[in-house]
Amino acid sequence: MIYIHNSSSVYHSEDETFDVKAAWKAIEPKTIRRTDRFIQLSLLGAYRAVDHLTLAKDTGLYMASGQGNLAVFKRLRDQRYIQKQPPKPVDFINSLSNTSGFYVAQYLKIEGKNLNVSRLGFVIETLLLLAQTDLESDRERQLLLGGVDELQTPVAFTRKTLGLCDDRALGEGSGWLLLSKERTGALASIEVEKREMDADALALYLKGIDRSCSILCGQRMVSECALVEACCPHHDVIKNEAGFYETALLGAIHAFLQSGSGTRVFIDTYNKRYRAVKVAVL
Amino acid sequence: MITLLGGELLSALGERETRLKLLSEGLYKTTEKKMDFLGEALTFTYYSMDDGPRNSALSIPLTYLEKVVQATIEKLGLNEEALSRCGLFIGSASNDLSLSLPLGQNYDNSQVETVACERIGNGFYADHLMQRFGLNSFSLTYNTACTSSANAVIDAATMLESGVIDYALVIGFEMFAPISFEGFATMQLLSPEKIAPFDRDRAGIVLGEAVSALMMSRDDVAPSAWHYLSGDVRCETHSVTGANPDGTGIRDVIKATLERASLGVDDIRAVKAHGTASALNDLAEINGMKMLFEQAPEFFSFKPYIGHTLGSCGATELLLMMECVDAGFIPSTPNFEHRDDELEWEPLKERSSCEDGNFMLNYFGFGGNNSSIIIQKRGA
Repeated sequence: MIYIHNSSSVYHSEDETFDVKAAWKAIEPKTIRRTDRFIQLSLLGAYRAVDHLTLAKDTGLYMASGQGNLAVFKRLRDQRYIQKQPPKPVDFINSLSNTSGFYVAQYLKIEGKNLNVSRLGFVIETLLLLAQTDLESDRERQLLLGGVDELQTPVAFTRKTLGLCDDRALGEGSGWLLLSKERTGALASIEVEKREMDADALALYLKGIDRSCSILCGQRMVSECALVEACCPHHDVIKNEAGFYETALLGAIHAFLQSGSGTRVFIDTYNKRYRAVKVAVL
Repeated sequence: MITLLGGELLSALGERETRLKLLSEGLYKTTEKKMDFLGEALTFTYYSMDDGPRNSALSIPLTYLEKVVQATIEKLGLNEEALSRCGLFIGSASNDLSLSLPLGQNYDNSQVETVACERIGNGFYADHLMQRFGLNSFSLTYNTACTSSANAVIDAATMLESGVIDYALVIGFEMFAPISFEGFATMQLLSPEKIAPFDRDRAGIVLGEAVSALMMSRDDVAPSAWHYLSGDVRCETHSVTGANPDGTGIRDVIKATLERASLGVDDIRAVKAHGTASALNDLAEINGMKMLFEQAPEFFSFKPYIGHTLGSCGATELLLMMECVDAGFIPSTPNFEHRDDELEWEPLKERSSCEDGNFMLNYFGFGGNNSSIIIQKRGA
């Protein structure tokens, strides 16, 4: 079993405009010139999760993103094909996905394992499973796990590349959890179901969930919510109505922790497969 | 224990027989890449996987990825059931092109309507390979610059130990990418002619491409003479573009890796250095080793043979290491001619006979990402 000691979420819907640069500049003006909006979004989320703490130097930093820092690729593309210029060094450096992890680690003064991973679906669930394995086997003592996705325009293009064929509203976010195997002082326990399930296995899994648990259907669960409701008629089944971004699970966990009590199972789907994460507030 | 079962790789060294001949003789093959850089026509040495013309479709790595995975599966004789227990760990410094291509084609946003509604982006290659070969659903794509596939190896071992998977396929790939090439040129990190790690006159990196597939497992599932003993990843925050030249960051990751394996420096038969031939990184690497090794171990760099293959070097150089030791030698470091008085230590200038032992493999990347791995080949 592993535990959540702190959490944060920065979230903006498709309709909001939020000056991430100004928000981060107010906190740490030194890095503004070298960082871009994606990195600043990462920094802002991580700051809100742990800035009041002194982290152990060996704290790991596991980062994930659904689509990565796409804005910097657009800048590099424009420099090469429109402006006919070589890449600007700062953009070239920031195009390496782990640059955001570097700046977060530098700001927080941590030097542990530093990862940046991606996956088409279940990126947070899979990273949580890796984190759970690393912590339970004592390979790592404490981890800061984050997921960052920046809203890209034009939204019609972005929606299609996310495989969203409806008019789903998009969002962006930077969600973070501080995790360890230590129960003392924790906010909640978190348990990742190791199996990826088909519909039948999910139905069996759902039948085993205690009635006191609420269930949150993830952002890719649309028609599949009916399956959950059918299996769990006595449970409180909630839909995640936030604007879509691939790493939204972390924002949903943070929101649940803010509510202060209970146990919730977070379920999502990708390619007709399912994954589940259970969070119990202590 | 975690076993290393071998695999397949594509690099500038060619097929296995040719590459072992070249490696044993300290030889390599390069091509040239021309680049219009700020109005000036520049020519750089490059390590290409193949010499023939390559059209744009072939530049998409899927063809090459499928080739190395298929060859690995056939070589090891893995059946459908075994593959369903095999996780996938891909490491590359580049992003999956599935999204980059439409972004490039749509640079003026005039072709928005032509994009199909399909989830694409980083993880696309993993998803494709998973479905194509019937692999287990556990997959992650690593993007930590030059340590990408080394970190994939380390996490593959963790997931094998946990029993979530019984096999792990680790892929390292890096193919020619104009923006990367121009990015390194802009930062004045490219050597125009040759790559000479640890040499006094080293002038920077020479890029190369490589695609490799390494299969890992556990003793109780698939025994092997080769074992993964330990690995560690650290992030040093001295500079976003490289390790601290004083070597402290590199010392820390090597020390942690030795401790995880319960080994001392005297237990290490040879070190595969990262050895990029950039002035400061080679200095950092030697300084880091000097803080732990009382005298220079046998060390060498694969970069003069295949170039700096960025995110692919983790898996690719590990496979090459296994092949060399299986063939009875540790390779020399071509292009080393002049001792650097600041470094003092010199890499292997002649190949060294070797049948077994513990081997340290070091990888360092942009973003302060430092990784170290220890593997072992047991004697008969």
